[in-house]
Amino acid sequence: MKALYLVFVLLAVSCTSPSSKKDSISSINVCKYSKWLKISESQDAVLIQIQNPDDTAKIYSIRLPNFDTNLRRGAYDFEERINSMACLSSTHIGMLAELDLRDHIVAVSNLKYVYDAQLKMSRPIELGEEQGIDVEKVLKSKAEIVVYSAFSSSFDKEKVLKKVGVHCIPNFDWREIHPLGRAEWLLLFGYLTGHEEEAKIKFKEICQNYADIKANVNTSISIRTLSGNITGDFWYAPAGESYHAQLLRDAGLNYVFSKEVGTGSLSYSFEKIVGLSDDIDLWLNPGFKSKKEILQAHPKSRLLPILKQSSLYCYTHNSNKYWELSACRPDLVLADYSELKRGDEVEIDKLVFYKRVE
Amino acid sequence: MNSKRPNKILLVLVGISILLLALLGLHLGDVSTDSWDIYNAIFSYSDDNLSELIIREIRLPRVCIALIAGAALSIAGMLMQTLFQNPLAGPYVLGINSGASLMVAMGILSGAGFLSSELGLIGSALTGAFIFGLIILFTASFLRNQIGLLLFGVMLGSFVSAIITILELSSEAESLKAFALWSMGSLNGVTIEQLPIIFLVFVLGCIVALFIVNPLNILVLGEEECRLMGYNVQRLRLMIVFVTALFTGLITAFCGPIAFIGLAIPNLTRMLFKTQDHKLLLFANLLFGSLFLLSCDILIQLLSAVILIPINALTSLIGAPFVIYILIRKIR
Repeated sequence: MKALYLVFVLLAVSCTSPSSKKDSISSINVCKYSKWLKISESQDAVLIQIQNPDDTAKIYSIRLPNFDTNLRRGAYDFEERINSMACLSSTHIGMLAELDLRDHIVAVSNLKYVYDAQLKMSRPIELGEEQGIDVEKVLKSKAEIVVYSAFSSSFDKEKVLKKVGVHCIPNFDWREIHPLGRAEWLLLFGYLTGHEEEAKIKFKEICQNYADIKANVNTSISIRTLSGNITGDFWYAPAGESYHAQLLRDAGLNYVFSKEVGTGSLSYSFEKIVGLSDDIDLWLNPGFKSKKEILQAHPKSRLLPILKQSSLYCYTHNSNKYWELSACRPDLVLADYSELKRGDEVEIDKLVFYKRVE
Repeated sequence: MNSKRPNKILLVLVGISILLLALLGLHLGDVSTDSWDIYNAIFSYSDDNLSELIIREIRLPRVCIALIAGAALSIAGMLMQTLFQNPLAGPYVLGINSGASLMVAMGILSGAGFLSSELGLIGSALTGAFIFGLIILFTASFLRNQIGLLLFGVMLGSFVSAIITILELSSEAESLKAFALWSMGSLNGVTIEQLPIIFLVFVLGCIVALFIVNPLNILVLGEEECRLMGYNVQRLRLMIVFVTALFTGLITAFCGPIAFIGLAIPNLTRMLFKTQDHKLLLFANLLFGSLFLLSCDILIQLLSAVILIPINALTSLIGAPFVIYILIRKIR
């Protein structure tokens, strides 16, 4: 696989001098956890490769110069640092905010779903949902790039935006199965904006913090944990190999579906959940702020014995905060989970995203 | 006398099929249960026993509402078809469902206290269905063309969709999700405690429908004939709209919109029984409607390991081709 990267790097910097080609030979993938993002760098150039999880043969590549040392023109997709971008997903905003680069965001999908107070105050332009963004508004915002999540198989506006000189970059952080793989996408924003060193330091901090919390997990107690909620006629829960299941495992929680194969979500009939919920100690993400709301939306939830207990926790009291920050700060989510493992001794004030469902 | 015998046999067979399918419906699920669990869940229930709890609280309400909703929507469709002398009429096509949906959408999407409560939603759905029923009735008084009336119903549906889209745009994410799920239709939302009230309202509607079967038999000949026989046509029309709105509103409030049953089943029963005797048609629609929706629910349970299908999608998948067949037959 490394040989393939080298070929890409060689192609990317093919018009550079022999000395820079020599440098590129020593390039390696900077990303350690991400499955879909690969970043290779040499002294003069950076090659970013974004692989499409649904069609792994599709690779989106971005050739960047080393903004500090290389001033040659013509061989790169971007010759200057990106200073303005449209972010179509909360996770992108969170990553830029974490790097203190929120001033680079000139447009978002919908301000209603933005958590970052400073960004909200700067009033970026609202473009609408990903599949129907207003191209004229993108132009008005003067965004140099549009970062999108590709929730559906294609991004319809990509062609027209390319014609008017706006690059569209897919972000598949949401398809990562390792929590740190998801957070690693903040490197993408670091490289695009020329703040890669700050991004690397930030990511290293997150990794260290994550490892410290994981190492201190008390493995002697088994907390049988249920996650997910009933939507329509079925109970949806994270599969055993998913990002969420990994977090629960790393926090030392005994997730009831941890052995179920798959990286997406599982769907079960409600009666199956009633059947296994007798000895559940913790219910995460029931999807509502209060038990009253749960019962109002799904009256049959009263059949779940866990509803009579106090160990129900959710992030819905501030969903925007969770969606914006949880991807780039898995260490904070892990900290919440390891705190929840303490059962009755949980210190609510210590929780970053979660609150007790009263 | 001889022609009535096969009809009775057919109805008895359908009745037996319903009974067997209902037992199957009580038996099917992820938690294994046996016949004694079913017996105990109904006659000597103990909530300490998981199997009995699941049968009584989850499967029994689902099976019962499938039976009631199928019957109610089919009877409503039959009444509409007789009232408008149009085999393509039905609460869904004529927009009575749309009335109920609009009011429910306003309740859920506005998040307004009483309107979004359970009682508020039921009241809203009934009111919406009744108002739209009256609008259709008023329009039918001057729009005599059958296709014209159907088009009016379709336009009413489009009008309501547009209003709902505008409401959705300005709604919170949670309300949007709740409404999207409601619009898919579900037989799982009804609780065992709600069943008696639903059943009572259903029986009330059936009694009113039974009272009007004789004038309905004359109405198929024409309104003039109905008047000649001494019936108050205006009152009859209002009673038909009342029963239709009651059934449609009730089912829409508890299960969401369920398409095509009200259109397909009355046509199927008319084709099978070849009669305009509305007493027979009433029982036929009651039984065939119940059988159809219960079969759909069992099919969903069986397919759930492979694919998740909302009830409204399945009834449309089966009902729409049947309606197209009726249309082609009518054109020929």
